[in-house]
Amino acid sequence: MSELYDLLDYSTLLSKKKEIRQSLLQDRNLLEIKIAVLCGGTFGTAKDFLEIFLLSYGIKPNFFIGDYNRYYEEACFENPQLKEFSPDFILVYVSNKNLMYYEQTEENHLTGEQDKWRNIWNDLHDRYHCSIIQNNFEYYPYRHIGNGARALAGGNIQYVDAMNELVSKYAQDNTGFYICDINYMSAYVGLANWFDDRMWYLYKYPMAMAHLPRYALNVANIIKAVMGKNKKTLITDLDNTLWGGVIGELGAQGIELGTETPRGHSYTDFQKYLKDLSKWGIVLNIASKNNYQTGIQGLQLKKSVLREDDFVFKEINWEPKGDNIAGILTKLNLLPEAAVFLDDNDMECDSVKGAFPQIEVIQVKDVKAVMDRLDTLSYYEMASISSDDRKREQYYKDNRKRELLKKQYASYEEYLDSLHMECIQSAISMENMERVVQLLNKTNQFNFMTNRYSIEQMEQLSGSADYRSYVLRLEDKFGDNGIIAVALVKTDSDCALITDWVMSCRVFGRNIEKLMLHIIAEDCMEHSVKHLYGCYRGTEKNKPIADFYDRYHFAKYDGGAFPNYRNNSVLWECSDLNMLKQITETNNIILRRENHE
Amino acid sequence: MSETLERVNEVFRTVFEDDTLVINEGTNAEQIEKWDSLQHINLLAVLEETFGITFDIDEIVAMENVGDIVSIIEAKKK
Repeated sequence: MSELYDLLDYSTLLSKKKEIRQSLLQDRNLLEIKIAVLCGGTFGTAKDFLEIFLLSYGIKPNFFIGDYNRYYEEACFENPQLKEFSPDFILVYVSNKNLMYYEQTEENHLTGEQDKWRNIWNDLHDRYHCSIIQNNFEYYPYRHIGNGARALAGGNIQYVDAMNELVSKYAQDNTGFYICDINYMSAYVGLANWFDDRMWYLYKYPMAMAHLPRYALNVANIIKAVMGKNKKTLITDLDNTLWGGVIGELGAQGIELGTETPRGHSYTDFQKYLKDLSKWGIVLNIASKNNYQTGIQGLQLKKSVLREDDFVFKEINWEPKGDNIAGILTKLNLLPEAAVFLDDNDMECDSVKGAFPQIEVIQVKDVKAVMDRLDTLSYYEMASISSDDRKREQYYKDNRKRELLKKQYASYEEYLDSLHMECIQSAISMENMERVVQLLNKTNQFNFMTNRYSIEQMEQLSGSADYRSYVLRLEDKFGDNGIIAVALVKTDSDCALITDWVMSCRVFGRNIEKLMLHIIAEDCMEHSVKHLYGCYRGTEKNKPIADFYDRYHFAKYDGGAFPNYRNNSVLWECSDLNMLKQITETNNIILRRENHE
Repeated sequence: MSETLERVNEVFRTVFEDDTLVINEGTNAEQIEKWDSLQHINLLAVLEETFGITFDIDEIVAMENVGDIVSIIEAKKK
């Protein structure tokens, strides 16, 4: 939804919110979540704004809004209403007005303050087992003793720094705890603009009304990242996008790039921005109309920050861009909605928009504006990072080598053999929890139920006695693919149901799904399970696996087992586990078991 | 309808998301169902933006109807 950027204007958002809300609610694939807001100030209209932004990400929120300035009591004491509400997210909506700096006189007042906040977070985690979003703290608008306020012990600016350090440290040490960085936001718009004292004195809004949309968007961005709704890749044009001018006309030496000219300098900065994105695992690709040799010369220049190697797929040719983009997405196994496309040409932008309405198309007129947009809308918001994230680019590069290899083999089986695949099986544990939850939440295509989990929910589920979990990591001759498949199986006497099963799109067509079924069948037999069930809930994106169980001779089931799953999904049954074990035998993958328990 | 009142009327339509809303100087919060304290704040913020003015706290507290709003705006514009 490209208009999102315009909605940061308070009056525009206010006047259109009803209309936008109604149109967004039409989408039937909305993901419902529950958000509790514990308030240190008035949340008010921020609730409507947050709802709009979440809806635009395909997320439908239900709210529990706590009482004004009761965040501490509501967090740290028994709270049956909140318990009953059972939130997925708790937003601790506070500001520097909620710090005790001005109420304290003792030397060590900071210790008491820090204990208070740690108690809030620990209590919330222990009681509600959900994700927590904590506002950090803006600086005070006044600093009394000038620069000393930061330099001297007890200064109010230093106090805020210490508090923010505490929040950051807590986020690093605790999964499922996220920072809503109002310190950054207030600095971005300027402290003098951020506050509106009248709004605080009269109505207890901790920020000027004009910034409520930016605040709400920032919260929505954290939630969409946790729920796996981020963009994953970027496809960019070359001429007048990564450098100034047309390389085919000016030659490599003639394009504007590098710090010698002002315009060239701006492209250098833009390239740095994209290079930084790729360091965080965002896959960069090129779709450019040029002769390959000509286009690539731009990236071979010494002054080009982005190198040939920084891109995974480089479609530099005269084919229609739509075809090239479709090809890149297929090779990455990604859906259009996971991509951002950059191009300076309005006709190209329009045609890509027409062909792929879900791709975020950004027309490049001024690279500064593009950076502002990429940054503010935070397409690549990263709520947490798993080691697999940073390696993603490498995975795709290795995949490219695999593709090349594929062409050398007569049969597909022969090709699979040549990969020397080795799967390492383990159960869900604290060690792999972050990646497991991420895979469950991010996977849309090979995902039977599209259930989304917080780390806390998964800890509880995988820890309970009637669940067994299967996590597969894949290595092959090109390297480590990381954790690529997860399944959860619920057992009930001699019946077992695969309640969740996801597989990364990076490893489609490698017999991993076959191996997983084999592992589950074998494990079931060892535990005297007679009937294995699978379930499937259709979405826009997982249609290709609608008949998956049929392919392995499961039969549609409408008997009495697992009644809770009947409402929203199709159940499949396999009563001959021996047969299942046999037909899922794979010769291309060596299996190793790792025990974390 | 004075020009100021007309523009205030527009702001009311925006904030209350009702294109048919017609107000006069006597209109107050009791006559518009959605005019609660939450919307009152939004109303003030959009009025400030539209007219490029800033209301003082005392003015905000004393406002009782559309007539008050219009006269404060007109006084500030002079």
